[in-house]
Amino acid sequence: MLKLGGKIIRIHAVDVDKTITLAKVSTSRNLPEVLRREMTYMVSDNQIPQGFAHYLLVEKHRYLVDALPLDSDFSILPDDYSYIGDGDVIRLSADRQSIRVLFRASSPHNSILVTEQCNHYCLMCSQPPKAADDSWILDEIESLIPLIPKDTRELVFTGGEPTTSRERFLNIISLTKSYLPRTAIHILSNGRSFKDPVFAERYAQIELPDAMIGIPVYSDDPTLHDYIVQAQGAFDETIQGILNLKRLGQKVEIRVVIHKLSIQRLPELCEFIARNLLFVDHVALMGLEMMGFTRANLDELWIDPFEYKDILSKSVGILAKYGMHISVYNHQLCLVNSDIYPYYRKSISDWKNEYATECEVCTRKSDCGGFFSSGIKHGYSKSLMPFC
Amino acid sequence: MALSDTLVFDERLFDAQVLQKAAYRSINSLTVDIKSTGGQFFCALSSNIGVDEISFLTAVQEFKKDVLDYQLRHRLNAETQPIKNLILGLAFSKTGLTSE
Amino acid sequence: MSKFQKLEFYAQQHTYELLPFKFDRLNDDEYVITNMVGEFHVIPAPMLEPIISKSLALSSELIATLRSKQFIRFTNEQAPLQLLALKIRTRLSRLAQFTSLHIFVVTLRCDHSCPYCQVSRQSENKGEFDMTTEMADKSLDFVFRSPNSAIKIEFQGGEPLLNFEMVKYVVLEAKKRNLKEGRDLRFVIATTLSLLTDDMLDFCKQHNIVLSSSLDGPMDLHNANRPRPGRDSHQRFEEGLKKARAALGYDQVSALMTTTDKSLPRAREIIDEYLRLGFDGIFLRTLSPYGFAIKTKKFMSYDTERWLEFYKEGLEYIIELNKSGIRFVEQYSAIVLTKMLTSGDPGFVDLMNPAGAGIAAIVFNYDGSVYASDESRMLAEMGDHTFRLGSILEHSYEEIILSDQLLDALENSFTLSAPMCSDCAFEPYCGAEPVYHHAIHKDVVARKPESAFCKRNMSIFKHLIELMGSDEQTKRIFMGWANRC
Repeated sequence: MLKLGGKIIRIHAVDVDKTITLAKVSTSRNLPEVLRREMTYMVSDNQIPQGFAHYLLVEKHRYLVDALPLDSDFSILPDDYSYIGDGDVIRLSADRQSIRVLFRASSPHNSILVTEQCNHYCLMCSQPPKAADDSWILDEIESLIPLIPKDTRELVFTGGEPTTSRERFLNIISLTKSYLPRTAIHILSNGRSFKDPVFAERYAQIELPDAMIGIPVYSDDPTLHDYIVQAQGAFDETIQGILNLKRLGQKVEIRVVIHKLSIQRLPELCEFIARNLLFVDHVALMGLEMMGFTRANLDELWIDPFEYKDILSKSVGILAKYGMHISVYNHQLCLVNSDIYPYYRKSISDWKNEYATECEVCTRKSDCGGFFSSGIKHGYSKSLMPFC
Repeated sequence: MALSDTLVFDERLFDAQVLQKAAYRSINSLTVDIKSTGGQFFCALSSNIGVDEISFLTAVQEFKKDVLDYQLRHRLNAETQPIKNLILGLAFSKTGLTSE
Repeated sequence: MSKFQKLEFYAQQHTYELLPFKFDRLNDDEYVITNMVGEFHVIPAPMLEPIISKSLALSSELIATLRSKQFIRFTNEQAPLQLLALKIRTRLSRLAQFTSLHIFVVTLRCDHSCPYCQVSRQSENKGEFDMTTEMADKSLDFVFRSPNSAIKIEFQGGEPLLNFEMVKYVVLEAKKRNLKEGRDLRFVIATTLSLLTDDMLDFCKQHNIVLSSSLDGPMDLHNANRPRPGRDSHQRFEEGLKKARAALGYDQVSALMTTTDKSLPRAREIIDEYLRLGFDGIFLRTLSPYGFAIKTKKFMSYDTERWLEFYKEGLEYIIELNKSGIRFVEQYSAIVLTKMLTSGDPGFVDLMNPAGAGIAAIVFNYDGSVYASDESRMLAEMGDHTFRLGSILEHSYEEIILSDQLLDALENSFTLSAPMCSDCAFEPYCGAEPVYHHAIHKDVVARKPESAFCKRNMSIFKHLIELMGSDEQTKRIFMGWANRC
């Protein structure tokens, strides 16, 4: 698992006023001077171009400090950060001596956390909500977006609930359209804000060229859904939000995390979706992540995927018969039936995935998404069967 | 000779329309004459020409079940009429056929 | 210290509200309930009254399903109302598009003399039973008055190939006009294939015309049903099929069967014949009581019960085939299943409400008469002109489409206002059939308890629901049919 943030070893800043900065990283020796002034250079050998605003060195290249241009600002990072590369965007904090990698140009899986606030409290939340005002994050995102490479294929906005501050959310979306017109945008939201037709309309008017809102629906039974997300009346509002968005021609995906609670009525949920929400653009069925609240609620949530593989097949079968677009994420290949293969995606974000020791001999490891790192650490199926 | 039977229904418990609907439903097997006296409905059932005894008895049984079914439908329809109109109003409001 | 609430916290405290639904007895032990858009659920008979009187316990397992299928809701819930409204709109949206199927009867001449023929038999030689170009032109004016973006022109007869000149004329004229109109324009010829020539096939290929033919079963059955000089209807069909498929494409030729007395004991053999000839589906049709059939009392000679046995046996065999991996659809069931399992409208003229007559289909006869449906024309051939809407040479589009014959029939047969139909749980799957009911019962509504149409359809609906309830795999197969996957 990649380390995305933490302490730096030492930061040497000539100009102490610049305490928190977003910086775009370059590894190019040939940049015009006028661009270098705004960027940070990642050092890997003693051929170090002049004129960058800041220089980064990892611990093992510490000796190259002497090769830096005179009076340069620089930071020394633990070796964990050797992966930082060209086009990445980082946040350096001088007073807190810390770094955070906000965007990795080489990764297909960049997600931007918009806020940690949320009006839900899902039993299996992998990013537990916090109530504190974190609007500084929105400020930072507004600075970040212009720095993201324009050829970025996909970007995810997540949270908490990204639409919590409605105006700021719309603003960020507009900015994204402006700076990244060719990027596919994925917004993870509980959809309830869109129950307000005015808000839905304003979102639609931005006319993002390629965007989809991923909205979780965990059961066709409103009581069970509300319980899973720990919010009274959630189901009713979420459905209304979905309807409003589709009425306005916006792309919507329905997401279902599969665990012991949602598996109870999974086929019924799929029939409900096929009958009532046939026009949604995609249905994603996802395995459980062992992070955040999941561990606090493990007794209620954990079920070995091997035990539910037939129910999963039945449920996917229903959606498939109705011609819907389906993906099954975050499952191990040996724990699903073969009728799932057309919909199986090797999907765990590259900074989160690993394999178990049982997997070493498996002949289909390259087809399999593996596990969440949290899963390796905290528990996974007892029924793994390597292919041979 | 036509087979016949008479059934009695309490006016407080059953609507005339309910009995009429049940009668209509069995029109292929029997005819029903309905009279109302003293707070009760008297339903005189007669078999159609060519209907034998077993068929007639079955039809009478069906008639009784139908009466109960239609009474239940009557109740259900009365209770759901307002929400039905609301839903239809919602359904047609986007077509420009009703004003919104 | 747990920050999480228990399930009970989210459970409903007060009782539910009923949403509009209908019910009927499925069998002695069960009711089937259907919501406003025909979604169904089967419940044990004793549960019906508690559901309606709201004495059903909120902890009952049934509650979640009743909510999910919009039979009930809890106060202030808006989603159920919006979902129902949306599905109603979806179901009805085809209505606004109006007439799609336009049937051109280009000739009554035919080389066959089928006893059940719904068109009076005429010999091959009489020229006065052909449509004129003037009629064709006026009919095409009518066709393009329809607002539908998809127009289907179907050639019928007699045997349309006997007046292929007219077929060509209409196709070319229609395409010329469509250059400006820009509709999705398609052509079908209903033919026995017995008189197909290479030139005809070339023309069909050039203009993407598909062929719809008749296959009643194995050779002996087919030839007995469909006599022609030479007694070789089946052989000619098979030859024609091969040629047509080679020239036009394998799937460009479809087959319809007609059921007679002789068909009833041979369901499996008929289906096998369809399989042998490479068809991927069959339409198990009933015999309609028009035209020649009534004259020869063919339609009287078996009753609804016997036909239902035939249908059930055929369907059972077809389901077996599907379970062993063979893709084969029973098309009438598929039409019904579309209504049961989706919010779509299959657009099948005979099973529509309001009736499909005029709205979904219209017929231009060889003599310039305009009829509300194919059945209407057949009725006229027997001397009953009730559903003749006018003459293409004398009347305007408005006069025909807004004629009393049509509007009265549509309005009076509307199932939601018909006795017994309006309360029927199966009404969402059924149709108004004014022409049939008028033909048999002399009344467009008729008394449904006496109607073979009602009896047959109700049996089919119950049968399909019971099959889905008893076997998960069958239900999955049916879902595929309903969605044409």
